Amino acid sequence: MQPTDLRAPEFNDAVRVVNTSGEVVPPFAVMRVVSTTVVGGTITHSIAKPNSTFQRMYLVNGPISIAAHSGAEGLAKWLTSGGFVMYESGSPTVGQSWGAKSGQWSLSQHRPGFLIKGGTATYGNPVVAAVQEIVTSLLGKTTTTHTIDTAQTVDIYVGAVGSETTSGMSLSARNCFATVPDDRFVTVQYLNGQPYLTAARCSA
Amino acid sequence: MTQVTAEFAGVPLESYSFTLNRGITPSVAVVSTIPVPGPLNIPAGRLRLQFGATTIDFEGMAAEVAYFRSVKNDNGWRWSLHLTDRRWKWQFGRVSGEYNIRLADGSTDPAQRKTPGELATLLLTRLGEIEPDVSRMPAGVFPYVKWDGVNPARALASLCESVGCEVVLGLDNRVTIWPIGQGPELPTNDSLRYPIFALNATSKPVKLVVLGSPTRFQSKLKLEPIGKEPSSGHHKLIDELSYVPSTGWLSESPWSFAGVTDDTNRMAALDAIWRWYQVTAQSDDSLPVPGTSTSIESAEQYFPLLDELVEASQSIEGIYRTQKPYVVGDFWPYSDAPGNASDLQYSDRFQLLQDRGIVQFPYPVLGLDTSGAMEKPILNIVVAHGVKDTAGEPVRLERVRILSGGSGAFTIRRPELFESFVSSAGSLIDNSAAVREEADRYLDIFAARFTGAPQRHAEYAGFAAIAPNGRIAQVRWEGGTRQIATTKASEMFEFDLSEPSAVQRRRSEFTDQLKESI
Repeated sequence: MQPTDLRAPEFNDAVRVVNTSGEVVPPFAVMRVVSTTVVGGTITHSIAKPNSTFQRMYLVNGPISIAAHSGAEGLAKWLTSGGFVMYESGSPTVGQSWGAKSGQWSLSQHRPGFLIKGGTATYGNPVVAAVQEIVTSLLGKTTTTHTIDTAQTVDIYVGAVGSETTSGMSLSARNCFATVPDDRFVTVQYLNGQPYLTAARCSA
Repeated sequence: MTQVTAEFAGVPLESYSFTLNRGITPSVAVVSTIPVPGPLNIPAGRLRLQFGATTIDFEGMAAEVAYFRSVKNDNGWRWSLHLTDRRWKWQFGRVSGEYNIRLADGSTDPAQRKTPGELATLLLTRLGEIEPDVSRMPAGVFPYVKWDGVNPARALASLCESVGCEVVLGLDNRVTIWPIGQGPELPTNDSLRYPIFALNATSKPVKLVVLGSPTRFQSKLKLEPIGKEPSSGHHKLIDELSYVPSTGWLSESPWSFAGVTDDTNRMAALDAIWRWYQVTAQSDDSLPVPGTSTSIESAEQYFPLLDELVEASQSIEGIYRTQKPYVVGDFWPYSDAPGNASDLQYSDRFQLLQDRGIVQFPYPVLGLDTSGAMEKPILNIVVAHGVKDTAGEPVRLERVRILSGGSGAFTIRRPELFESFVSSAGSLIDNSAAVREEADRYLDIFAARFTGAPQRHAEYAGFAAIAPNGRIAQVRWEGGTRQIATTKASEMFEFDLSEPSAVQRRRSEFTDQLKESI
């Protein structure tokens, strides 16, 4: 049997997820992929709440909440065609970029990943129509002297222009052009699918 | 002495005996004449019987059988001929049509509704009859007929039988349809050879029963989710299954049922949970069906469900079309957002297992509150169904007329007649008055057959111009150069035992009809 045959047409682009968060996953929650396995011939993603490790893409739960118990399953989407996604608060408007935040199921403003399309509503939590875009570049700060030809942790900085603060998320990026001192703004870009420092602030 | 002559197609006859019957089967006159040399080649012609001023003509009679017969007294030989009346032509031809189709609510579609008289006219016209008289045929009934290239005469016989009428070829060469029991009585005049003998037959029923088809009820019935036990194949309400997940069905993804650990059970869950629903009661959880006082102990008494509603719809051409059952309720319509639609008609396909009252959806149909939590949907199916009593007997139209005397019940089966009830939003629409009125018309029609005239028989000297009708069943003229001319006739029975009886003729017609369908 192909489990996809059993799904309603509306869920044909959905993926199967297993909740490992220990919490009820609300509808349209932003979910981090913990691991991916194949269960009964179906790709199955174990998911949890976003944490401090940045992921280029997140899954978004469907309209049905996923129970908290171990092994509880649901259907989620990558939202590359758009759809509802939870946001924490504020007033998302068309064209803004919102993104995942460590420790919460909802999007936060001035973050990369989700382009707002408008259409807010409340289904237990506030949701907004958005489309997910794969993240290709980030603003960050070095967390130590980033020696050339090494990979070091970079804190991701987010926020309104001129008011950027740490996002609570980080990633490891490789430096190929020059040694960068600690606590300097850098640009991280994904090249060949991997993060590299491609620019850095020269002065403190 | 009164002059008596008889001739066929201008050929004088020595003897003749002609019993004229009602119906579509031609009656046969047996006549004899002096042989002529060479082959007998007589075209269809007129049989003329004359007795004084009385002339009786039968046009279009055809010689069917001829054989030699010796005559005792002069040791001579005679041609004996069998002449069939002009109804021999009725064995040919065909007709197609379907009339008085009942809509799902039991009414007739006005577009193809025809009275018995109109149907008979259609058939008689097809038989080539000019100005047939159908004016006495009953009104107020609309018998269903379906003719698919059938013989018009046999169709006419069946039609007339269904509305208690007889086909009569009159002495005026005109076809008249007479209701049984109606028509002029046997004449009482000087030519009567002895007093009319009368018998009030005792072999008649004590009651007439019009038996229609099972009553149709259109109800809004409650659907409950069910599943199946793989080991036995039994169906159960989902919470009564042996493999209910420890956290319940509402916390299980309906697309994987990961909490059902046994593979076989899990497959059964994927097959049925939130996809199969069974009728368990009326939408308000009660069992009684509006429109009947029949005691209902289980929804099983509603089954089988019907595949069309009582309510019909009209196409843009004005043609009535049946409507399919539909599911309606509060359920998540697979919208982008969580939350149930309220009182929404389910618009996708589903399969209805009519005999088990089960609805099967192609994918899970579930409830979802606005916070995304699964819940049991409220589903109902609007469907037509019958009702059986607790002994399994279907509730159906049955109208009874008690007659005086007699014994037993005479059943008039009218499968096209049925009552229908549509309950919707607390109101009840039914066709009872109209359908009972039509059924009662059938009782009127057939009551005349059993409570009407007595059986009477008379014999007259010479030829009497007596024609069969709804009352007079048979007339025989006989005589010849060596015997006196007489006329015999009977009311409400056929006296001539040498002729196939009306029942035998009908049986023969049915056999012909069967041959026709081969």
